[in-house]
Amino acid sequence: MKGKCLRPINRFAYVVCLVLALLSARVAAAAESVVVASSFPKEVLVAYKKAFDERYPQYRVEFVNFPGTHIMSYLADHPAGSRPDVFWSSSADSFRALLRHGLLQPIGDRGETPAKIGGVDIDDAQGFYKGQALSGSGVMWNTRYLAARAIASPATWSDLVRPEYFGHVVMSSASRSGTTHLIVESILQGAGWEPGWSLILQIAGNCATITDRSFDVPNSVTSGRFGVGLVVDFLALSGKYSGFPVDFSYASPSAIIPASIALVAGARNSAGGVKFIDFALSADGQRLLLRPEISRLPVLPEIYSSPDKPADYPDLIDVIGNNPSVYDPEVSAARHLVVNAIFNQRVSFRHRELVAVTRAIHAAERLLSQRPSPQARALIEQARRLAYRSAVAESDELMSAAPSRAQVAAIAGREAQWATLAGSDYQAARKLAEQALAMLQ
Amino acid sequence: MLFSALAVYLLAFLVLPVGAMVLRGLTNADGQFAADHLRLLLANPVYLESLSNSLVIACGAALLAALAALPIAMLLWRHHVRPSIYIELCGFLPLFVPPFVLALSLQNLLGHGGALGWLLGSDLDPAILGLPSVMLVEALHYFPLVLMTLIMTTSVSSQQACEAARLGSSWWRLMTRIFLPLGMPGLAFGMSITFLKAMDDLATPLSLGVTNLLAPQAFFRVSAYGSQDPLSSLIATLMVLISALAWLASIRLVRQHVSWRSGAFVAATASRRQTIVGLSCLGGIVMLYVTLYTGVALTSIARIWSYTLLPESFTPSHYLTALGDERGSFINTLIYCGFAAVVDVLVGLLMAYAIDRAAPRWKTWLTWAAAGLLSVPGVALAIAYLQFFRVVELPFFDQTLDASWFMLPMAFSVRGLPFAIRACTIALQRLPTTYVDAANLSGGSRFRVATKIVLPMLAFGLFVAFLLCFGVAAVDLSSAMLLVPSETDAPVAYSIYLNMQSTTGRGAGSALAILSIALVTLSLFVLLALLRPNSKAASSFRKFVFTAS
Repeated sequence: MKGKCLRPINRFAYVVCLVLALLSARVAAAAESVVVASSFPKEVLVAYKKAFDERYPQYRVEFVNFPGTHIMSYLADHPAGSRPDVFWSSSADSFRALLRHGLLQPIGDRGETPAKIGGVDIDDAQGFYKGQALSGSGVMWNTRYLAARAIASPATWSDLVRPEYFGHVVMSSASRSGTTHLIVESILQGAGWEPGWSLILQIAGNCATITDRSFDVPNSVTSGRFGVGLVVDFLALSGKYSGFPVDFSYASPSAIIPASIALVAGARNSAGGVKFIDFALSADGQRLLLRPEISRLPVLPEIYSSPDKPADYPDLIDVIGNNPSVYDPEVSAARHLVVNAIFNQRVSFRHRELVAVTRAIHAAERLLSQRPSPQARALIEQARRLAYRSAVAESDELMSAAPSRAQVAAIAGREAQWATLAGSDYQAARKLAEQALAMLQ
Repeated sequence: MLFSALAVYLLAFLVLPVGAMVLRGLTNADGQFAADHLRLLLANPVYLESLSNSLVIACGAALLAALAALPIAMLLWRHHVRPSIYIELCGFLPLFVPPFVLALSLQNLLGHGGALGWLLGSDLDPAILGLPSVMLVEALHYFPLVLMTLIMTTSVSSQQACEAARLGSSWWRLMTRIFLPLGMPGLAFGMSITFLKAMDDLATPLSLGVTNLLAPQAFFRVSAYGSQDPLSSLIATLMVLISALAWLASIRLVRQHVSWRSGAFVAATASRRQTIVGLSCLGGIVMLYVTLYTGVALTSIARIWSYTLLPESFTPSHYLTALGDERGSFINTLIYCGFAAVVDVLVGLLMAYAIDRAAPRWKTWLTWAAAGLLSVPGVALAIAYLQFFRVVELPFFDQTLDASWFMLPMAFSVRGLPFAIRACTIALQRLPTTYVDAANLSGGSRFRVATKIVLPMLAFGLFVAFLLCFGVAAVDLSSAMLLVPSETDAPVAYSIYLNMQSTTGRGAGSALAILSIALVTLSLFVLLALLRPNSKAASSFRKFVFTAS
């Protein structure tokens, strides 16, 4: 009896001891970690962690992964001393916002990378952040998916509004993905505020779904779940060079923007952070970018003559030369939160309604092309105007206000208005399109 | 002394953070009560829509799971089929596996990219269906749990029911008069767990592109505007309220007295007909789930799978990656969930003891409060922690509390506490008072009585409590997504989520998911085999789950 009773208690004690031992091992091991906040996919992070940990055994890289657009709120929630050491992201707006709020430490002139390539500034002039890789955005498509439906492959953004792409496109949300925000902002700046929103809303209306993170877009296209995606180049190229039947085309207007790396003010381990930055900018760190599962454009020119480079890899100068950038990062940074809020209220949270309107408009226009009718045309045009508008003026006072607690509160108030307006706009537009359809039938 | 420690734990990790969160939503910048934020919340149709969507999904998932489980349980009951304890255990697997894995598996199976969706070419992709697919995924995921709790509560008197049937009761009468009242506690438990988990789930709607639900809306606001955002506090408060109401409603249903003694006349051997019915029913369900998860199983070994029926090339490399690079997440799970479960067992035992010793009028109140803990959703708790512990400095580690991994196991422990209290209460009730009295009378010191008599007799119950809390913590993705300080610190459920965020197929994430499902199943079976000689194991395992008093 005695022995039988004691066995379970011993087992319980073993478990407790094991847990305590693991806990203490954890505390001991946490000494020299370098914490890098990044929005990059797992493939990139794992490659850099392995290479860096091997090169500098005294350090251990840890990653915090969240959309680059969220770094400001993340640092606001984390006082100095509990922040990550390095911020590494494609979101140019975030670096500007961090700089404006004094949340970066100067790192000076480091590494061999050029400060300017073509007309594009790679590094911050004041030495707070450095470009680590270049990227532009465009459309990727699954060749098998499009061939099976006899749909032509798209070349640029405006192709994606065509009715044959309805239900086959996929994009992420501007507020949840730094690269999607960049795509939206470069369209807004390249095409103009209202025409830009109209284009974005028409594309979103053709989208089958709005994914939560940017990675789900290339994932859906490489697997053939959907045909076409709006992505930043490396997300598409990594699929292509890993052997998936996908292709990619730079679209216009698109901004060629460096993915940057910087040291966070209030970092726990600045020395380790600087080591990581140096490694990312070194020839070894830059060469990692050519790996098929990463496929980013290095900023160190000598890497392009490296034998590891795939034969049809995009060339730096070609990419920059083909894409005259119209992108003003200052404008983008000032209205960052507002653009995200508009996108959320008109696209992310209202996607089903937007898709329904777009379906009705496509149906009406298909009939209109067969039986011309001026009244029906007028109705459809009215529906388009209502459905594909931002409903917020570019000169709105919120746009230029510095991001602050007050602006967040103001946005929350306006969000309620925008949400109501988006709902009624889509309802009215759908009714108009259906009216036109009934008239044509 | 112990009780003041308990009070401090509850105050610091539950009452104060959640209270502060509720206050933040209801006060203005000057700290005065104001309805400004509430008015903002009500003015935005998206939040109202999210509220109704969340209710529809949670109720719908619970109802769907119950509707599917009822006829099957009834059939098994009529034929006196009693699944083995191993099969019953499989019914509890949903508690240990995050539901979004099922959502992603269905995307692979039903999307245009491959398998059925490719073959049929129709728009069955769960991401296109949106809201209904979230409901369906949650219902499918928790259906085995509802079914097993129903089978467990009704099987006790299947023999007596058989006698009743022989006396000429109609099928309908048998169901409404005997089966349903018998099964109600199990059904209510399974349904309320489904409701609470579906309400709280963050990863499933996010992977399906569904945004207009309470949990994602609160999550978006916190990640875009920071944890100090008052609207996210209000949404989280709303989630706490709804969950508490649902939990109370389910308690009302199970308050009747339930006998847990096994039936006096259990059939000694199963007839051929019974075996066939039992095997075909349970075999069918197992086959269904194996099929549902083939989407993930195939991706875990596929190298290139793009717009073809099956993957065109295979590779074991995803498993090697999962085992190599993500070993840390298994260790993290052991540490965090183990730590949380140890805290749970200690606190649960103390609370069970306190409840047991409390004055009668306090007793009911305390029991309800303990059960109500279950209704604090993970998202709400995480938001409360982020707000509350932001400024707390750790004395020896020279960093603030929120940067450390410490908050995560504490949140896990609060979430697992109701299960721990329940398990410990049952363990305490099973303690034969005669032994303790005898030991006291023979002059043993209190310490000696506790270590030599009480703890050894409680050990099994405590061990079960530890396991249950460990499992609950291991899949708590909703709090992990907000509280994990870095990827290196991620427990395995969150690592699966992160590894699914890859650009070139979801191989590593799928491999990790398959590995962890296999690991959980294996460890449950091994533990049960270890505990089997103890004949009380099976019945007490069944017993601790239910809140019947």
